[in-house]
Amino acid sequence: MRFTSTLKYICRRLLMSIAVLFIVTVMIFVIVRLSPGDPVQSRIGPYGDYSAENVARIEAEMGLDKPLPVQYGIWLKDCLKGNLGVSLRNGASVTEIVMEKLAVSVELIIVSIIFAVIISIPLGIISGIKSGSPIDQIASVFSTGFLAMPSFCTGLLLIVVLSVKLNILPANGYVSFAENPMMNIQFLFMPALTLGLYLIAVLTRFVRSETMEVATSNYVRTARAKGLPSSMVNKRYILKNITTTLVTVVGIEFATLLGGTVIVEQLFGWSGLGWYICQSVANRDYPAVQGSVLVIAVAFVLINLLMDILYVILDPRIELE
Amino acid sequence: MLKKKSKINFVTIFALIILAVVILMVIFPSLFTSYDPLEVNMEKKLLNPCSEHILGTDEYGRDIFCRIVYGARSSVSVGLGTALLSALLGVPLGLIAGYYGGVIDNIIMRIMDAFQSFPSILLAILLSTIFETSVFSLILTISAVSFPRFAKLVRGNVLTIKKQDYVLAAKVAGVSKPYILFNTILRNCMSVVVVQFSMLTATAILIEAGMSFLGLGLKPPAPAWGSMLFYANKYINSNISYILSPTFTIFLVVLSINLLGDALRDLLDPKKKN
Amino acid sequence: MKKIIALVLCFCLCLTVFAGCGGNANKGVLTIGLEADVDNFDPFTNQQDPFVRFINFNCYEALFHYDENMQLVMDLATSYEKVNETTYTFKLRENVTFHNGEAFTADDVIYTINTIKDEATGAWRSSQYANVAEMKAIDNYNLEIKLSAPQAGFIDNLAYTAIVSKSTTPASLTTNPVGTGAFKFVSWTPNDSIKFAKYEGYWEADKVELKELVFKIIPDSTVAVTNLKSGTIQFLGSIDIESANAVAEDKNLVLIESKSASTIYEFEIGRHNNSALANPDVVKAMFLALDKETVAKQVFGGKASVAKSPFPSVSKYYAEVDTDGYDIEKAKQLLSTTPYKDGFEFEVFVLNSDAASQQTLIIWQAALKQLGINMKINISEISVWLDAYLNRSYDMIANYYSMVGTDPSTYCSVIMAALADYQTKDLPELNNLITTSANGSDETVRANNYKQIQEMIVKYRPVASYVECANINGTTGELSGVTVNAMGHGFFKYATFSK
Repeated sequence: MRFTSTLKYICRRLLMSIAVLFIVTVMIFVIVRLSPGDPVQSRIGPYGDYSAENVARIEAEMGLDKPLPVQYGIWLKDCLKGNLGVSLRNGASVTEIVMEKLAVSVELIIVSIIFAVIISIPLGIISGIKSGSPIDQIASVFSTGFLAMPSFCTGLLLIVVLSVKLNILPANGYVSFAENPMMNIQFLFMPALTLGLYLIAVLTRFVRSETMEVATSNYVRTARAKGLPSSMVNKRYILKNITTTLVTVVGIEFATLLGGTVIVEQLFGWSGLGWYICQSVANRDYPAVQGSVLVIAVAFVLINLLMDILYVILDPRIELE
Repeated sequence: MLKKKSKINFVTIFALIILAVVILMVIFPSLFTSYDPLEVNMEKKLLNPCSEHILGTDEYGRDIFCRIVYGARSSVSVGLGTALLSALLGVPLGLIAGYYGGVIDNIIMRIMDAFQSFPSILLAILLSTIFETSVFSLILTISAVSFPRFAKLVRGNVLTIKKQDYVLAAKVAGVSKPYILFNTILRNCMSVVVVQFSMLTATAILIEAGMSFLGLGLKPPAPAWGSMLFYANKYINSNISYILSPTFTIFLVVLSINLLGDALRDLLDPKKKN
Repeated sequence: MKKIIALVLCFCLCLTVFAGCGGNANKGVLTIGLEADVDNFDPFTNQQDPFVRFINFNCYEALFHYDENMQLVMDLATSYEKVNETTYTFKLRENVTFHNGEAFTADDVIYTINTIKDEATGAWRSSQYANVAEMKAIDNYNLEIKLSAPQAGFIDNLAYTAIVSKSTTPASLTTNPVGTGAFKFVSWTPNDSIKFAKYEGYWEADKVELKELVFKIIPDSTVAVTNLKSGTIQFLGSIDIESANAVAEDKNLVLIESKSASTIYEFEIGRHNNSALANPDVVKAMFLALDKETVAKQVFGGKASVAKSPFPSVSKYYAEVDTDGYDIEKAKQLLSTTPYKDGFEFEVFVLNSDAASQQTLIIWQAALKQLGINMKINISEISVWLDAYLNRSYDMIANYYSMVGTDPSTYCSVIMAALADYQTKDLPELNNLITTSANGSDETVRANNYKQIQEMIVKYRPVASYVECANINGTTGELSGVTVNAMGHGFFKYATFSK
């Protein structure tokens, strides 16, 4: 009974996600095409050849001479094949660049998530169990503060303190790990800390409220009444119980950060996907913008779908709509 | 219990004072400063804080405190404008989707999902390429990012409210559907809308600052907090107060609005208080 | 919580210990920071600054190039002779090979010029070869070129023309450049880096010490300076004033400035779009309100001088025709004699990457406000800027131009000739002068004509120059032997690392 309804739920969610993805592709296509600026002009440059033949030749080369719906159709078909087209600027494969830049962003996001999880779980559990204690109050001020703090503010403060005043870390830049691991970590430190501090605020709040709920539940009270040592209670009941929801929350944060790191990447010169999108928007590189935003949106929808399904499977208490 | 209550009040008062000052800045900026935010004086560029310029000067020799004061106008109008437009778009959509359900609900919600499947700053960047930047275009752009949240929230509320006895009673009594929808149900959603409105104002200010920081904000020489960050970033070595001033201003204002929102929620919806 | 803070601090400390260990351990590799990636390596159509300035003439070579003192240095030619007003002969260097191993001959030069002249190529300097009537390879290493009319800037154009092998096509060059230069193309990772290696078969290979030449794409100027400080790059091309100041402050870094200031910063004025701006008195009043001295000193950090002519000061026939200083009272008075005494509004387009022009505009904007003139500044991306520029749909647009060679005919053909259907449409006399002077040969007539052209440009201001600035590049102190000429072209073949 539970199994069939779960299956039904998953199918429904899947269909919904496909509908959403369709709307997303149309939106991206329309928005990018509505933007002012002509990619043909970007390509020819200010002093180049603007004879009608040359313009027509370049338009045809770029596929811009066909009607819009046809252009959309071609683009969508190619996307489904995993071909996001070629950059108008340099003819390189967008798929390759996006994947490369995605890896750079993912490195940053994963490091900051790990950092946040390591700190926020103990902090949240302690605050939850001992709610009202000084630790709880400090944690709560901290969370409220960093939730209101825009990432560029945190980042700028870190730059001011660590780079300008103390001069112990380079303010910004990117070197790949393979090229120079030490430099990579140096450059990674501040952006990861910036994202990490925000994530700690989100996760601590979340872990705290979950802990409070579990800690006041009957089975934990029973376990305590039976005289189980509190460290055991914490480990066996509370941690276990919040893991399911924590995994989904972290998953969704991950998806949000995929595109949400634009500002942090720009601020610290970390040349990931967000940074690349900014460059491509400025260059009117249609396929590059479409491709990267599409990848992020698809990832976002899929991760959300996955997390929803995971949540339903892992936590049988959830009521299926 | 009593102690806790008084603490909340203290925090709320702090937030209210900050917001009152900001609103004064918006209406009567000349109360705070005698400088002109646009006056260029290259002889005095990038001064550190001193008695004449309490926060120093920027790369054109303009007084930074003065620009913060005048910058409140654009930030606040973007914040409030966005919250208003999002509410005007999101609330009716949420009401309709929640009340009628079925296909209409599905269509509206999938479109909302699509809007929400972009990280907000990304969608804002994309949209900003279409419009020429102005306060109005910023409001439009950021509203496009935030109205789905309104719609979803209201829809969720409608789903529970429409099963309530008084709504059923009204239906049976033959009251017209639009009346039920926009009067009976909307009135019961109001507390959620008000809280969300305040939260959204803060979010909009943040997104505006973020966009300005990426160079997509208001055009110079208009003073705006986010744009100040964008330009100050280059002079971080010359005058630190140039970058710190807008940073702290944005932080304080957003924090205050959030605190106010929390207080409002507690006030309007006693059930959710923990 | 304490533990966590301690951990974080420890981590910071660890990082600090290693902070000094970056640097360039592998000598013989020169890494250059570029502000933007290139689109392709096709020397015919690519006019992007990073390509033209730092890649073009290190991978390809021209017959000769201008060095930092604006003297011609022979490359693929060993000498040339101007036989008469319309005939040139060139002696070409022997035993030169392209990167693909083919020998370089006169036919390659002929092929290159023919490709530029071919409309299908879309070469951006094609108009400058329109006069080439006949090219003849006397033998493999002797070439004769006949023009249909005398053209003073012809040698300058050749100094700007990269010679390609006749077995290549513009299409093949876009991703696989094959030249005769000291550095051979290895690989290109878009938006990341471009790698070149020393070409062992180079005609001057024994003088080339570098093993590799790597271009790293770093769009953010502060990031680029950080990289220069940490030693991950050793040369940073075309930097802005803020970065130049940061480089100057660091005692391990050195600024390389082109000796002559040849980049002209200018506003092109849409006289055809805005009646106020078509009135010479109004525009004169506006420029009286632009404090060029302050701009040169504060915006360009003293690296620029006030422009006194539309032409860069390195150009021939340069005359100081624009003597107006900053005088806001005079400006007000002059404006009050025009129909626009109550002020008006106009819009200026400026590139988002062009910080210097933006700052100038903001200073000017504040001054114009005193005249009642409302200037709107539109900071736009390259595509929007180009849109306005090419359609000539602007009231005013900020631009900059680097001189090619010394003959003003190149400036006139690139900047002025394009305006004939737009802002200078009502000035047929000016347009005539420009066309006739480009092809003339009588020195006194040309000198006179170009003086008149400068005077007319200053009077009507279809284009108004305000400062000229040196090209500034930053390097680490250990690097030497790099030369940058007035056009901003960097030559890396003699670069060495000291230590």
